[in-house]
Amino acid sequence: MQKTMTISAKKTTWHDYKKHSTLFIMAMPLFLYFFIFHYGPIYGLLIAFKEYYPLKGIWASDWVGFEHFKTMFQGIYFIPVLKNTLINSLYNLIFGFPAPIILAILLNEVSNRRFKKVIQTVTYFPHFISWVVLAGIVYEMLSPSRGPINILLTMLGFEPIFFVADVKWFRTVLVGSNIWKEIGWGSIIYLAAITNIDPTLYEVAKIDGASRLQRIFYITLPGIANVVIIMLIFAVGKIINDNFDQIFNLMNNRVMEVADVISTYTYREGIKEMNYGYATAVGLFKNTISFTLVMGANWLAKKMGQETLF
Amino acid sequence: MKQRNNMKKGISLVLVIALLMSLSACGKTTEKNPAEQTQAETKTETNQVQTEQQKPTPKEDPVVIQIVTSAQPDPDAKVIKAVEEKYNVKFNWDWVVDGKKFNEVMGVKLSSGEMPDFVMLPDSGDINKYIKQGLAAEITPEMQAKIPTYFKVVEKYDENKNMWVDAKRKGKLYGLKPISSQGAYPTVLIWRTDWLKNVGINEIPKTLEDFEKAMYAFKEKDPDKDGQPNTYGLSETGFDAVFGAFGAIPLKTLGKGRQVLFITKNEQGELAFACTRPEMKEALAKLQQYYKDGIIDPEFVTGENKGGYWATSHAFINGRIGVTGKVLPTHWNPPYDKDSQGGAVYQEMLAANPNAKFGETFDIGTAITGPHGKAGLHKWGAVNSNIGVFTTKCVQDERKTNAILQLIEDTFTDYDFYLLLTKGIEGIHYTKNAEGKLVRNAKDFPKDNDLRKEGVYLLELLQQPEFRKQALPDYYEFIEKYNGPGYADEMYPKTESYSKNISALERLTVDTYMSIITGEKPVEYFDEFVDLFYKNGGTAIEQEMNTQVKENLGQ
Amino acid sequence: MRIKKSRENIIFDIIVYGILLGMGIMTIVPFLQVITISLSPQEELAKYGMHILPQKITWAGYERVLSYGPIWRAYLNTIIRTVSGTALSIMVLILGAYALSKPYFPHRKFWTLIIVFTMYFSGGLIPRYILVNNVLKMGNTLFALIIPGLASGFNLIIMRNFFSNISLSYEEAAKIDGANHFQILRHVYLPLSKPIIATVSLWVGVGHWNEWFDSMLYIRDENKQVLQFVLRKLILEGTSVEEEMAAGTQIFVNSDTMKMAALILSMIPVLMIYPFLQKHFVQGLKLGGVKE
Repeated sequence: MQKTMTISAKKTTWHDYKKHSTLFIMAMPLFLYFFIFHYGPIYGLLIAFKEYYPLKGIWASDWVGFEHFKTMFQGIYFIPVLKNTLINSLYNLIFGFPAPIILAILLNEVSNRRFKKVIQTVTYFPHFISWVVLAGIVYEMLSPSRGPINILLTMLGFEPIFFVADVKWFRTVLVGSNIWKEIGWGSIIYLAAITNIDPTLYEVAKIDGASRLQRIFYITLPGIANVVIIMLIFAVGKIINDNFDQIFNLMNNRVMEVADVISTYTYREGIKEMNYGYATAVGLFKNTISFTLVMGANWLAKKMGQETLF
Repeated sequence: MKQRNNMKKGISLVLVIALLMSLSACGKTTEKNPAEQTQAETKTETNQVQTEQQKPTPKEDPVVIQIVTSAQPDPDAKVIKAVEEKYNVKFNWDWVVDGKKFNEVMGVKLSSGEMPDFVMLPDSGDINKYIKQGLAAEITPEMQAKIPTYFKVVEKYDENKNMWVDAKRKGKLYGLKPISSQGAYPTVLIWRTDWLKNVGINEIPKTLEDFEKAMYAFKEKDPDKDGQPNTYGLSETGFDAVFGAFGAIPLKTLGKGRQVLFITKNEQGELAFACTRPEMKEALAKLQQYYKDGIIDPEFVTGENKGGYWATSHAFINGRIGVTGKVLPTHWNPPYDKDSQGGAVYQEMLAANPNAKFGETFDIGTAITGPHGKAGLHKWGAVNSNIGVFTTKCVQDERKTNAILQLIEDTFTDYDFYLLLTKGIEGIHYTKNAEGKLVRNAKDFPKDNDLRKEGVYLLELLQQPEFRKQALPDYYEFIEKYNGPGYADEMYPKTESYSKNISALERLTVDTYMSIITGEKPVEYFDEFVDLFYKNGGTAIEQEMNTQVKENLGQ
Repeated sequence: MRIKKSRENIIFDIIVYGILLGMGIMTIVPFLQVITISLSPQEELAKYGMHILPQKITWAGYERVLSYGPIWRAYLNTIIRTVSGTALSIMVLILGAYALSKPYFPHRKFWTLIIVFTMYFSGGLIPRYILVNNVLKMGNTLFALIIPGLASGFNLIIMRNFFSNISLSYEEAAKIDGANHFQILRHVYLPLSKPIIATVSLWVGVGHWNEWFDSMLYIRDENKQVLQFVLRKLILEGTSVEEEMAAGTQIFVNSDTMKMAALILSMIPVLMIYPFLQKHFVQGLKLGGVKE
């Protein structure tokens, strides 16, 4: 992947804008959109520092500084909830991130076009089913008394396990069900990336005697590396996020200590109690961390000579 | 040439996009600032003034009223038109807010400066916020004088004599409370009477002792006679029976769902949390014993209901447990006559067990009495936390306010008008059968939302419990039969400390109760819990709550 | 040599096909469950157990959903919204991604950064509502549904990266022939980028199809509402005890049958789109005539 370098002056000047005016015009709708619809409303972040009442409006509501943040940090469940959020995300990163990649690679190895199409289509179905429905299915499948998984376990001579209510298993259920739901949908981008790999590379490697496995490691993986890196950088930024829909529907009172995350905790507090300032403060806290993580990951990628965000 | 052409293409593309964005600025009709509507709309509304009745004298144009509803009706529906003509008003249905996203959507709309005229808020605890920011207007004594029947009727249902504590501020009234007439009755227990017979018990248990005997028998004596150890006594909805037998219901559920900690009155007559009362410790000890002995369904934590209608206990109707609770008798009633279908969960029970019969297979029981003579199941409460407010915008226009007040008063005095608002038009939405009972036209309008489209339900701003009894005699006759002991929650104002601390306390309570019941922690841990509870906001909340109540009532 | 290779190949194939088959079976389970419930009468649903294959079939659920008046209009609204929204978004994204993919774009890092910044920091629902509804007066129009979410930083970066991996030598060659950026974009980049454009279009399109909250917020006329919003009301009925307590209305039995039928009916169009897009996931065209 060579990039021809144009010799550009160190400082970008008005002259450069003129020179590349077409490009700039092409980007204009995009920039306009972001300015109007993202930077326009950005003053809403101030709500995090105010005692906001919708009728009063942002400017007339009282300023409370870091009061909301203090409330958040001083909550007796703040640390446990933060811990859960981070741990869940880390598990999702370690197990959930590679899953769609593996699926894409496996699909690529299939020569039967129809089989490939069918599996591709089938695996992305669960993405469209909401967690309200999926959680119900997960509960039934993992039920100790009547779920197929436990029936299988008892047939093999094991004791049934109440997966969804066991703090030792709940995280596994979370990560596993998330992979179940998103693996197909998530593989689409990697499949798209794989199509960009020059097919002659495979032919050459075959002639050189490379095994299937070797071809995957030396051609396919490097071929999609830049996409993987970008997705990874974004994924790192999401470590502080959690999947409210999933957790809210799967959690129950026996696993609170591993299930309760920032969003489920603040759901009980924030908007429900019309506490806009608090909810915004929590959001701002999470976003700052996300952004920092993304910047950090990006810098790391750059240091390692990889493709980056910028 | 070609280059310039393509350049032009590119620029024109950009211009098209810009044009599209600017087109949005014009040509949008229905978006008008409601504050201006009262003047601007009068011109367009003249043709809506009654045409059927001959009015010799020139009338005022109808005043426009915006009510917040959960569904949008057809603006030309007969029911709507009838009401509009009666009061010379025009309803504007722009304010449709979904129940689940109520606060979010309300907040956003209010922030943009829009305001409805009358709105039923889901949580009276927020009344402070609504007053503070100038949303809720005072319901002055003059206004109150216009709805005397409303006050007379609802105050009969004020069991705890506190229905206005969360609606008043400094003695002034800021909201009207709707009465849930079925909420005045306690929830009940549903028993598998065939199981009881099979284990040698002939009567539905009335005391905790008998209850226990039945529970143990359900687990140990194979009541469904299938030779399998697959039956249990109770699951999470049955816990209420045990809690109530000791003196209070502490929280909403230990299964899945939103947590709410209930408030009761303590010995001093002050508002206090129910979950920290010493009686709860005894109840938890019992539950811990039951769980240890395997009488409680080990899967209780994922709930008895696996989806669909919330009140269905799949654990019960599939023969896994022998008793279930947290339902009203009218969820389980057999058909009243050949025209009715039976309660919603009754129907599900028969779907799963086609040979089941009410009375023989299952029956309804009331609260069990505990060792100290206490008994009670949870009552939803005739007065709940909904509160109807007149907005500050509305009270500026006397015509609007009077029209709404008159609408409310007429709902309470005129039975036929009540029927129009809640059942629709006779012959279209319902018919009267041979015994004079109202039969809903389920063929054309199977769902409540179908009726809402016709304008039914939406204009019933406040429920009239007496008329409701009159309109549904079977329903109330049935429910009256099981009017046993019950605990209704106290109404309480939500204070600053409440908002700040309640979610941590909810979590603490649930964690504690769960760990005691499952045996992870000993019963003695309860004392530590009470300590933690009060240290982490419990005291602050209770104190503030009681002070606020006095302040609200103007004492 | 040859025999060994093909044995290794076969083992490899067995493993690959096996794993994929397993994945296929696992992920089709929820779908089958939803379909089965949508076809099952109440007697079947009240019982415990998985519902993978229908025991008895009833079409009542589908009938009820399809006979619900607002649905057809809502379908149309969603189609309009999805098609126009996706088309607009893709156009803007392609133009912007192309421009930003050029290493010589002035202040490239800066412009990219300010876009990425918006992925993480947002003013929230309220100022946006005021902007869209009060300032721009887009309330109750199609624009409120397709413009506020026009482009996301994520989609932009993904597309831009695909573009920047296209060798600049193509561009140089084209420039020698006198092409301007629009032509280069159209004749060089677009044909090479079919997979990524298909992917992003899919993401944007599905996003529009499934969206309902903005419809709830901005749209006032019932006949302008989108499909998911209309179905949501249907699906949520009877699930909340709070609503029943407050409503005081008579509740009729809720049908999971109908709810799952509604879910299937809302998913079908999207599921049918993917096979059409799959044909774009072929190896990119090689234009030839360019020395790397």
